[in-house]
Amino acid sequence: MTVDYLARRIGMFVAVIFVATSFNFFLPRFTGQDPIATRLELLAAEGVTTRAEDYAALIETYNAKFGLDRPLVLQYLTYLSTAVRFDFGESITKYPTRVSELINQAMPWSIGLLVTSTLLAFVVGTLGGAVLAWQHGPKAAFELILPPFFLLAAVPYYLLGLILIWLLAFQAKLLPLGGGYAPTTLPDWSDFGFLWEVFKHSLLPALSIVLASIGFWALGMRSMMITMQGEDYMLQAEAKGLTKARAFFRYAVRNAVLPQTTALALTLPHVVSGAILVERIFGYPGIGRVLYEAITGFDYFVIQGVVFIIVLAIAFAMLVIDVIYPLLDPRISYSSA
Amino acid sequence: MAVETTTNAVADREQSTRSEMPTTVDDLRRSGMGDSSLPAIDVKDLKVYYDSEAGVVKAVDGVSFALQQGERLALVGESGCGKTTLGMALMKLTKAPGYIDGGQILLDGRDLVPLDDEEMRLARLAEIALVTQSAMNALNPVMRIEDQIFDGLIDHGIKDTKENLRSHVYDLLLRVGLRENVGRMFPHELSGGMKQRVAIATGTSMNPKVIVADEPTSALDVVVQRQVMMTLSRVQRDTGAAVILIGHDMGLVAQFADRIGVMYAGKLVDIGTVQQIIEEPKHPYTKLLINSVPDLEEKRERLTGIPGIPPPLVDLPPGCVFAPRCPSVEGPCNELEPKDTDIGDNRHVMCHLFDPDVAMAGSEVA
Repeated sequence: MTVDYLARRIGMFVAVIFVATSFNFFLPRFTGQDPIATRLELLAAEGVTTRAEDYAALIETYNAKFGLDRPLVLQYLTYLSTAVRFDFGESITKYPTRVSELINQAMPWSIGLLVTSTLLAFVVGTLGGAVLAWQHGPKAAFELILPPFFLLAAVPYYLLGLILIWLLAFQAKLLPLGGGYAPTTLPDWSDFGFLWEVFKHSLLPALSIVLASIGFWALGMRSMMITMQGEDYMLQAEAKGLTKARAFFRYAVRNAVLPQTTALALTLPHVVSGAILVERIFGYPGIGRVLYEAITGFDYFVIQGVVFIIVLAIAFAMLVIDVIYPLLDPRISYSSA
Repeated sequence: MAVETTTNAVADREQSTRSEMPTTVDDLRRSGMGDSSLPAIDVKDLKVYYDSEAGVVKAVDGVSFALQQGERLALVGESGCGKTTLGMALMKLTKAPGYIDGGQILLDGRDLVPLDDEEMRLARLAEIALVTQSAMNALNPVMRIEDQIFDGLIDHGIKDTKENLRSHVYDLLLRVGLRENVGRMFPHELSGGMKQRVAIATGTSMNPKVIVADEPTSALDVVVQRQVMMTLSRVQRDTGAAVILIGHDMGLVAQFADRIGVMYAGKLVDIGTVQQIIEEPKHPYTKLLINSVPDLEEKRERLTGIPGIPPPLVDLPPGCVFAPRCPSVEGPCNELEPKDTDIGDNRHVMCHLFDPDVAMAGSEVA
């Protein structure tokens, strides 16, 4: 690996983050909606009444408090200088909770749920798709098992989530309806009972993601495997008298899995944004729900914080894949950038 | 035409092959050619058919020939005549909807046709190896060359240290004229000619008795073609393997082979030594084929082709398959299928003109 290559990639990484976070700063501000007014409307809805003559003063105080009365350029510079230290200020709707605190609380839930279910779906789907396309394998069994997953891949996972809730939680009462844990329990991560409860609560959202995405991975892998089997080196592998297992894993799967890896690398960073709709449906306390609430409440600072983390994760994943891809595929070299 | 083998000899040979399975690189280096009384490969009445909607396609229909150890046979014929189908069938790599409908492939006395998948897997590379048509893509793009050669050895029960395996691979590479460091390279770092040499090194890594080389030079330029053929020639002399070279370039094939077999519409119509085939072609198709090869010394205004096209393999004409295009066609040709006739000197022709039992006006039977 050349230093030059790495330097260029890191330069790209920084540039991507800079551009994306700048967009993220200006876009919500150009919508013309006022977060303070939204906040006061929310308060009014909760029954907190304000006298008309105090209203203007209140808005002024709030604007000054959050620095929204300053020129946009100054706000932007403050935002850039604080964001690099992962300080996104205080939430408008949940004042005085800090944005970083909201993210820190929600992140483990999303990462735990989504990394597990994405990797599970990737492994099962990719292997299933590979066997389905393999001419010498136990095809018949997979021909029965996998097609329903192709059907499920066409169903949006939030719809699948609703069906699962209705079937398994509402009708069969096997699993809880939603939430990260029962509202009556106090979180205690050292208590086994609590961990079991968290596991039970994560089963349905995980299931809806896994069921809906296995088909996606399987279809991609299946078509790659069919292409690979037409390659001359597969015929050569057979002519060399290789065992079926070796020809399958080291010749067919090894080559067919390359595009799958790229797709996985592009999917994984979305884990930090959480599956917004799934978390919403299941009332799951993940980052997706934080972002959803921030957008509905027009909470500039939370949106900025969450999106900054998402941009960072995606850019980082691309950097990682750029660095490791030449190791997976020797035809791609570090020098030809 | 085949050399007669007794059942006992077959049984003995099978016994000895089993007990002498090489397990180390040293065993491989020592393993030479066995009993020379049997032909290396003896194909008898081999039929490879494809089921299609239009009917049964007789891609290879009753082909017989035998090859002694160290002998080089070239199979020639126009596109679609069944050369490659025959080559694949010898490796038992015929893919559905194709199948071997009948016949025998006796490899050193042992018939490959009835073998099950696992027995056949073990026979490939160790006893009969393939050097494929488009070696350009015959290598796994993500594996180092030496690892790809190791794979074949390991899956045939060679258990040896990495150093021994590596030194064996280096010997193989040197033998095909490549440097040792090619072993550590990836396929995309090699030229077409180098890849083809690697294919030859891989094919000979276990000293097989028979090498099937299916148009090994088709994707290369003429200079490299010649080098690759010389390499194949040298390796063949070193290992003493019998080679079946499939090709359509008469000139290239004639330089390499001892004997030439001419195929037409799934049948082996003419087989003899290179000299016999080129200097005194017997079968009318062979004559036309030889006439269509350009000559360096004789200046011809126009090269002669062979009028007509080969018959569809699903709907072969009754009698001789070549009759519709044959300049010497006579009455019996359209009714009676010609037999494989031995005309002396181990020369076989499938034509009524040479069959003493068929009355032909132009009969060439002495």
